[in-house]
Amino acid sequence: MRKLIKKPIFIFWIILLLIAIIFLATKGLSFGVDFSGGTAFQIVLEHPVSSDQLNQVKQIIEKRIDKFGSKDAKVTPSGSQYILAQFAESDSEEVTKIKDTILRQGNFEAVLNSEVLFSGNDIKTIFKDPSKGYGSRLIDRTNNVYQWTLPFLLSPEASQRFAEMIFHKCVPTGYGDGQQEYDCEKTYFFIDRPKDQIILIDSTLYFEEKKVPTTPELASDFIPIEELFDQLTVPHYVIDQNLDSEQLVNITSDFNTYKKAIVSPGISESVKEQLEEIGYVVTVKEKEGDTFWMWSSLGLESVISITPGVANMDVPTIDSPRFETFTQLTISGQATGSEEAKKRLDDIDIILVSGSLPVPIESISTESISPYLGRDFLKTSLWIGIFALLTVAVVLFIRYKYLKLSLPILLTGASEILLLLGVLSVISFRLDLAAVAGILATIGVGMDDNIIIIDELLRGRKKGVKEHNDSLMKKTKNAFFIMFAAAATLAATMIPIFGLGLGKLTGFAVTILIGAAIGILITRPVYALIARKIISSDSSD
Amino acid sequence: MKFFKKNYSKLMYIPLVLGIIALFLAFVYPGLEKGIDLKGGNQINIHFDDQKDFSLIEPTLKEKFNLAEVHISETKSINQYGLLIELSLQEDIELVKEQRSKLDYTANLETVKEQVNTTIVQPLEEKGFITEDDYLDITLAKNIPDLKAGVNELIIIANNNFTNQVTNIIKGQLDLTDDSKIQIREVAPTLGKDFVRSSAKAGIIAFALLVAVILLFFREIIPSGLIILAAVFDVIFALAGMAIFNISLSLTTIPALLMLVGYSVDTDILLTARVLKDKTEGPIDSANTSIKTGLTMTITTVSTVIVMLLISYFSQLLVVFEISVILLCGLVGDVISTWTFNAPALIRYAERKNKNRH
Repeated sequence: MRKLIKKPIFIFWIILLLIAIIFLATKGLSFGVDFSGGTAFQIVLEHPVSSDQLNQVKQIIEKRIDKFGSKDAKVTPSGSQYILAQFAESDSEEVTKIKDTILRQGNFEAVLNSEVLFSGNDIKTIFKDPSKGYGSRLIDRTNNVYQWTLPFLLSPEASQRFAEMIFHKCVPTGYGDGQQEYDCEKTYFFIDRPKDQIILIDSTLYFEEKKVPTTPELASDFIPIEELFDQLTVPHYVIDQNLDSEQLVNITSDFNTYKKAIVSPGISESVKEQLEEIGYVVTVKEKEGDTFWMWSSLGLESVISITPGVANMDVPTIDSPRFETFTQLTISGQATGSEEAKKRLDDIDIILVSGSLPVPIESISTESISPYLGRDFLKTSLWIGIFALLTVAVVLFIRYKYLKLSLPILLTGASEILLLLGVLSVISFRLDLAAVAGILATIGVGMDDNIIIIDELLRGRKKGVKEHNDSLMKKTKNAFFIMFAAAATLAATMIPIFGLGLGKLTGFAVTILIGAAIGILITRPVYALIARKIISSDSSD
Repeated sequence: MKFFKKNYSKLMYIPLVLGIIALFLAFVYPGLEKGIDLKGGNQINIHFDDQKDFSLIEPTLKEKFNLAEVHISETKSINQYGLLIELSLQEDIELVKEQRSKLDYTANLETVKEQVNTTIVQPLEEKGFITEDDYLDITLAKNIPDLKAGVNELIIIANNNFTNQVTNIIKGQLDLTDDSKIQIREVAPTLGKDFVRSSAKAGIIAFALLVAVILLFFREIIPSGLIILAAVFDVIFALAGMAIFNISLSLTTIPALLMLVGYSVDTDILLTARVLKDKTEGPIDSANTSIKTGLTMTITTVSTVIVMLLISYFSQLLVVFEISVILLCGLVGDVISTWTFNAPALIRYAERKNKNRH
């Protein structure tokens, strides 16, 4: 036994097992919608696209799902025209809403004082070229501050309009570093800014969000709530319990122009009924996670300050020959850490293009599982796993009546599952039913291989003891030839499942392939080693 | 007791006869069916604790929607009831889709809008699949690409609403609460077509790889060919099993069939390796020792598969149940193909080879 422990493969096995246990204990396994409940969308694009474009579609879809708050969404592109989106929501009405949001073309607008500076249609190109300034760079080493920059090209008409509209929108504030410093007005980036709806906000929420941060969650910089409302062209009302008579008159006359109303969750039922009586279609916009209501309900995506350069601060009038229009503009900002900077950069990029997906969606197929059913599935899968292992033990014992050989099979078999789960934990794989089927198959393959090992080793045992022990090594080799061939055929049949747009099934192939690799490289050699020791020590007795 | 004796060749009639029967079952009668994964449609799977009356679901759905097929099956286990409802594609929406492919997007915007309005928007609105809100994008479209995207959107939304209406009718009929155990699937026919294509591709690549791997390991044409034939036989047997038990070709069953190939050639590889490589025994003796090991392997696997089958049946875990049935049928086929086809043919091949050498 002591000799056994010194074998490198044995030590390796123990170490890997420990690592697997540590990962399973700390990081744990993540479960797909089959078990945790939720919805999987299989999205098919109208035609195949490049991997860059597919990635962009992926990010846009991710963002659109994110609008619904934290749904633990996972969006993965597969093949050249498929996207698989999974998220934790199974209520059919909510799922429909998410589907609609993914589908609908959003409308991007950069707004200054309720006027559109430029919209999604005006943006010709977004430069992803570092030579045009795209990217992020370290500007403050001590505080790890990065400046990110996104250059983009506007159409000539739009850039003319833009230059005129933001002319002199900065105010000098003094001198610093020998340069004139300015305080500039902010532009507001919206996707689907309300245009045909009136907005009703309850006074409690209104006072809560009196100061709106310049980023969706809390920030150090704030803008007054009214300034944000000023960016809209539609009327808004702050409601204190009930509509007062003046509000009622105004809202009634608004109905000539607007037919819909967005209301905050705190608006009372009676007010909603009043609105419906007038004829309004009322939509309650819930608060989404930590995001301010004013952000999510108005479709605000980002707040960006104008830079003095583009505001032509050093030119006296628009008619001056020195007045410049810029077709290439940049949006830039600062963030701590390169990852954060990259994230902000990607976010803005997606906002700018979010008006439209680069390629239309052909169809969305859906699978929803309620969490209650998912929990049942998980329980059942566990039972199957346990019973499968026990059955194997019973069958092997009946066949060989050799407990010493059968027990290690169970041990290495169980360790194989543990290692497999460990790998799945390390790669953050989401366990689904297909993966469980793969794990069960792995148990089966493992048992078959161990039987081959035992039978090869026991073969010709009745001949002379010495000859038998000499050939144990050769027999192990025979057994491994068979196992390698079997594993290779299994791999041959599973590999094609990848990359063919069968996204939902990769779990099956992934677990089988990882399981086969672990088996052939680690657990089978360990078992062969143990079995050889047991047989040779038994024969020499 | 020895399985292979002098007259081993006669065994080969068994797979011949069974193979023909299996082919008949799989492809003639009852034949295989494509599941909703491959042809598109809706599937709703519900579990509940008490028996419920579902007799009105089918007539209600058929009356309300233009559906070619509504298939409802009830499953019972010790403590649970389940319903599996499968709907074919909604004919009205399919008709609209056909109209969509006829649209002439080269005409001017207003003409196309008019066309879209009469052939797509109106029929969908009449059937109650969309409301004014849903086709706002089409009314407001400023150019042809926007209009085209709007039309695509609208059809998906109509499909969506159809699924929701169906779900609500079923939930209403069965009196289901929000915490019910329900699984809803909706597969677009285009996705189904893609799946068929991908699966066929996967099958062909898998077969080519399998041939390559087997040839690489054994480097002899006839024994390799026998292994591959045996694998094909297993798949045919599994297909026959699917036809008998009414399991359709789907995204779960196709990979299961692929896995079955990898799974079942184990015993053929074992047999071939022993018969060809072990020079201490004659081919018949080698085959006889192999069958012991091979049957132990198969019996062990079959017993785990039976466990899977029973538990998944009683807990109505459809995916695992279907995989188990396929594996079980395939493994039965494997016993036949390995020991009554591959083994006798291989023994004859090895004996002839030995004779030529002497």
